[in-house]
Amino acid sequence: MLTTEETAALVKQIQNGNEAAFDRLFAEYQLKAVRTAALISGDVSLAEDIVQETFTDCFLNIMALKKPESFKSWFFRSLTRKAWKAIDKKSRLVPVEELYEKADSMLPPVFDSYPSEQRSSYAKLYKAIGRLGKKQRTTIVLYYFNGFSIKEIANATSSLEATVKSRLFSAKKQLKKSLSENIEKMEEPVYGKV
Amino acid sequence: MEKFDEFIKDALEKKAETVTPSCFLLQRIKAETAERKRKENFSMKIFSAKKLVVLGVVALMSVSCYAAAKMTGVVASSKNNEITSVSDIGKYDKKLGFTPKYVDSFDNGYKFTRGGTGTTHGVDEDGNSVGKEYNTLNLTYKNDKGQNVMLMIDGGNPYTDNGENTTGYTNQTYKFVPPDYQLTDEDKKEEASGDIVISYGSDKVEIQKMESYMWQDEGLYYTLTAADCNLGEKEMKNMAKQINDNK
Repeated sequence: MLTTEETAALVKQIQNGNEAAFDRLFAEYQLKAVRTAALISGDVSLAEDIVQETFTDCFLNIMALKKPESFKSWFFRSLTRKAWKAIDKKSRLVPVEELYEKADSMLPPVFDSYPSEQRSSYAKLYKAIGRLGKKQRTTIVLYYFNGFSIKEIANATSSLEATVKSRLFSAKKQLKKSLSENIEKMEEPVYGKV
Repeated sequence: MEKFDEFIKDALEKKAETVTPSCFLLQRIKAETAERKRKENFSMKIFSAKKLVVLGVVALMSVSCYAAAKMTGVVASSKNNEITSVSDIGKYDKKLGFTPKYVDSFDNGYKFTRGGTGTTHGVDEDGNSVGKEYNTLNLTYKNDKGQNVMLMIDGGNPYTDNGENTTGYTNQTYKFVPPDYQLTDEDKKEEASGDIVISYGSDKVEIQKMESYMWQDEGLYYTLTAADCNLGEKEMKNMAKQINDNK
């Protein structure tokens, strides 16, 4: 991933009309963006539309970005809003729980060789993440997958830092509860050395 | 970090590893950007017409095919996840202004997965709209191997308006490369001979063989497009027949 300075330099180049700089910025951000959108929405097929909208909006409005060094939080704030909008739209067609049950019932192939108990733990966790509210799930994704700080999550979700802390705490509590049996065994090397 | 925190982090990373953006994402963003700029009369002009490409291989092919004409390409922008159930397709007839023919699934195993509506129109070398704008419906079908075939149905065809015949089978090999990719001598040779088309913006170098089959039926323009499916002309023609025969 680009440093803040490198990102800011590219943003300035885009603002000066350099198309190649946009290609470079896209190449650097696209993978993380699509994966973040997929994890927040719980739907891989929605993720590309979310990212397409986000990049399009960012490009069309990039002249308005006064602080190029704040591109990352600006970009993910836009992505988060679009992901939430997509979730709301889809939930009107398919009940949210069903959507995430379906999305999380299939474990990635990487787990094929894992012992059944370990597979079961991951499956339970995915199901539990899918059942979180969209704001709690977003907090979990941005914190653990994107490695954002509380302050960065507050920026990305347009929330107060205290609210983010509260969402993170209650989300973890819910996840722990749904995995209570497995948590007890977590003291044993069920998940391998971590 | 606690063990439970590590567990959540690891689980999310493993889940995310299965998600990869399509090689068309940058082209779709550029097409969408160009379309919105056109509609909103944006004065900022950054994307060159040469790269003003489209959702869909057919239009990608056309950009290079029509370089000599006033119309240098076609922009077709469309949502790809607006329609999630085949039973909902009919609900979009009014919005589209036409009633398309389509199938739930093809005999060779491709089944409907998603779709969306949008518009298509010709553009000149400066990216300005040329001719009429038409509504379009795109439907994606997937087989058990995860290969995709896209069906685009347009209310009109900018190429036909431009006096060109685009019906029939075509195929083209594309090399998708990162933005800073330096062309090799072999690339330059193959690009000059027309064996490959270079498309910038991918995160890695990928070569894909694109196939398309276009036909006209009852005033509508149908295009089947496939990437690395190796269907061939006979198979694509057979798929087209299944659509045509579906009343």
